[in-house]
Amino acid sequence: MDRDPFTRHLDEPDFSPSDPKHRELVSLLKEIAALEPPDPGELYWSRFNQRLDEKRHRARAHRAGRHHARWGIWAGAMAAAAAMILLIWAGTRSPVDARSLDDLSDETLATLHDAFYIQEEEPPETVDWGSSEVDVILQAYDPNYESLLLESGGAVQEELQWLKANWNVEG
Amino acid sequence: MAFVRLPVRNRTDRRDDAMEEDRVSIQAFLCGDQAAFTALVNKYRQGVYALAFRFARNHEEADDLAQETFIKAFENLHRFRGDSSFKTWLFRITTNLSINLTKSGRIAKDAGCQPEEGSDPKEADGLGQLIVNERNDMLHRAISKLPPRQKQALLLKTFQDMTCEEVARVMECSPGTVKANVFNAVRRLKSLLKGEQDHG
Repeated sequence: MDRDPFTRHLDEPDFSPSDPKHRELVSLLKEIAALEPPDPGELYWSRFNQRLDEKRHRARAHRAGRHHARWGIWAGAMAAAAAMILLIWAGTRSPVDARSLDDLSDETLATLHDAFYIQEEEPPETVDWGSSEVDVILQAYDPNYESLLLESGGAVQEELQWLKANWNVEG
Repeated sequence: MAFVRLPVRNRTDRRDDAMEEDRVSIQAFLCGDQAAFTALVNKYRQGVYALAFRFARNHEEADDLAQETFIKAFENLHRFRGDSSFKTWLFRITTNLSINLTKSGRIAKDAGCQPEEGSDPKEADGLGQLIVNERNDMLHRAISKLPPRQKQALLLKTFQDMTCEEVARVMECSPGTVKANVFNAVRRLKSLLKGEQDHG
């Protein structure tokens, strides 16, 4: 069917096609144009704007809530991601160090072992202090140390000499 | 007695006046005057509701569509460029919303026109009116079976004497496409009505 007569009517509503088939289509179009919605009534229109305002505020509040929730989710996700990264980092740190220890030469390992051995096994008392250091300690403990030595007989001096000599041996 | 020949105001002049009036209201609203938007709502709410009802055929849905249209307009008025009239812009929002509702299934394809409280009482006035109502229902049922673009073009073209150019602006297509869609819609409608009459 040629649509020109019908489309001409669309442009010029006063134009009526001569062909009955087209006239039927135009008549159907007019019938649809005449379809009108029922009037919702004065009460409806009097409350329309107030309802619109309420709906608008509700929509805004809902959107703000969603916005905050989105931020909350985002912040939570970021915190979880940071925690995850920290956990992974902490978890992978020891094996990496262990592997690097494996790569160290025996000489380096021995040095490290000695260093740790000294720190852990040798108490400060066993450090090789000289006799003069023992004197300092004894003086600090008793300021009359020298006079005591002079006053004391040879037995005490001998005893102290023995103590100085064996200090580093027995600790 | 001398007569002053007043210029004949045609439809284009009236439309230009309305557009200018709307433009002033929109500017006032964007400058913070909320009452200017209320003026726009009061001016177009009946048209928007009527168009929404054409698509929804149901008062509740038409009401929802009309309210939603103005909420969207309120929120996006700063984006309105003024390429088309405010009325065209509003109608575009309404039709897009109604299409989305149809797609989502909220507007049932065979939804009937439900009489509302306070609706026009002349609808149920006598046998003649009953026949008219039955014919209207048949038309609505047939329209609801049309493809979305054809339905959109047909309902807009037959609404408030809209021109093909105005419908094209709402549908964001060419006037030629509108004409083709309306022609195909009416032809299809004719065969759908014939089928319904044969079965009825």
